[in-house]
Amino acid sequence: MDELTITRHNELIDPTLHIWGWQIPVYLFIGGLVAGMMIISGYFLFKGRTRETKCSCFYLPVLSVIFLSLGMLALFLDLEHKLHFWRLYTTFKITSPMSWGAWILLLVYPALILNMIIRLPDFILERFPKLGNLTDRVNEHPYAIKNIGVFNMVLGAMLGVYTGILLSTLTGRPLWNTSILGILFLVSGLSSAAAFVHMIARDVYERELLAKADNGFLSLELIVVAMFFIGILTSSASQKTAATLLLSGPFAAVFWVFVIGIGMVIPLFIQLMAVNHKIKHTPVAPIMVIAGGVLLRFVFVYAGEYSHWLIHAGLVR
Amino acid sequence: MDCVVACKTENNVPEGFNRVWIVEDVMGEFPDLNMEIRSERCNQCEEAPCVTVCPTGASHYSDFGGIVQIDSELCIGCKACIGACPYDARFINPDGYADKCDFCFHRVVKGENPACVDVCPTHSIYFGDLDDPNSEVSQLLQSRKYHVRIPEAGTKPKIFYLT
Repeated sequence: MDELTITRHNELIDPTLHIWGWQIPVYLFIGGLVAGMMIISGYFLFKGRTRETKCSCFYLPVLSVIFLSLGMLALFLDLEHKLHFWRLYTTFKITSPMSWGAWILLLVYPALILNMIIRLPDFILERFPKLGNLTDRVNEHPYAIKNIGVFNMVLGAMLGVYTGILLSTLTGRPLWNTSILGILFLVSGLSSAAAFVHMIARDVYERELLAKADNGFLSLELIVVAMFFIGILTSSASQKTAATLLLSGPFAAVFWVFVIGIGMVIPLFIQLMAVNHKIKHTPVAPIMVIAGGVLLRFVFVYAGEYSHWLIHAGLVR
Repeated sequence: MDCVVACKTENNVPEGFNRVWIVEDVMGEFPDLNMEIRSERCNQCEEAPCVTVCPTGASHYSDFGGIVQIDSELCIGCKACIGACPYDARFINPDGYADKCDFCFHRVVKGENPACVDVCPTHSIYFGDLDDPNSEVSQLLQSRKYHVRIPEAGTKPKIFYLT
């Protein structure tokens, strides 16, 4: 038995850490979603699908720019010293994932704009008809389009991984101390993006392909979740206790029912039946996947904040 | 609690926040109980995770003494350092930047002790240069038993509790 009585009661810190509200989980989800959309769009560019007029690679970058800007707004709202945000761009700190993230985000926008140039949206062309020349120039070089695709895929992967590594590096929270979160958040972002694009795609081939891809991503995600637990449950006492937050503690119900059940397993079954033509494609499974992706971020952020080095077997806090 | 009060007055710590706090640690099973009372603060870690994760360099080691400090002009208030600290030593100052104990840097550079050390009525807090093997603190660590908080986090804390 070890009992601590602490006289400190700092806002956001005590009795349990709660530094991040809705803004960070929402931003992490949007970051993952945009990362997935960039990889999907980049893949279509790489495969030369720009020949298809209905290719989703023509409107995904526009949506990505809108979503990412909303995500960055959430990130900005979370900052406590808002007017100093530009300090992020006066330095680069190699050990800080936030610094990496700030610079990755700065590269993501040009990548999305390059993708947009391949076929500019009408509302831009109407205002700036001269930009059409750029489109013509790019389309004369199929290899340029392939390279833009690769650029988008690489930056998408970096964006997706960074949203997880952001949490992994925070030493103080045992639940987060595993870099597999980077892979988990990337795969979750891919599955959310595949679900989202599947819902809005106008091309039948793409819808079928993305439903199949999403089944792959969801299966992979379940494996990564299992690997996360294997890693953390064979770690130190603090990490093991942190894992019980998700296994049997206050976050277990929402994690297993909503994140794993409704967010991964059930939509996986529905979509497996759909791609085997047993049932029709409906937005039900994609919506479940997206909701699961949002909740995954909330559960991991909140449970991680709750976890602490001093909470382990025999120590009451 | 004199250290807590002295810290608040010396550093104008905003109301409702603490840079220094008291922990009563009760160990064992009744009736074999042990109690340790600690005055806790930022551990001025040698490998401080708050410095590692800071995206702007606002959290840094001072050239003088390697004290972990915060440059409020560089801080964007992202709170990564708060999440990174295993000791929960940091908080957000109502003015928006991260805040914590800096060993009363303004006093230490003048050769004085931190306020908490000077006011302690039982002289139970020692402060000094760990790099000097002849300093009082180095001698104490050589002759007495001590422990540090959460050594398993690997941060190499520099606050030692003599037992």
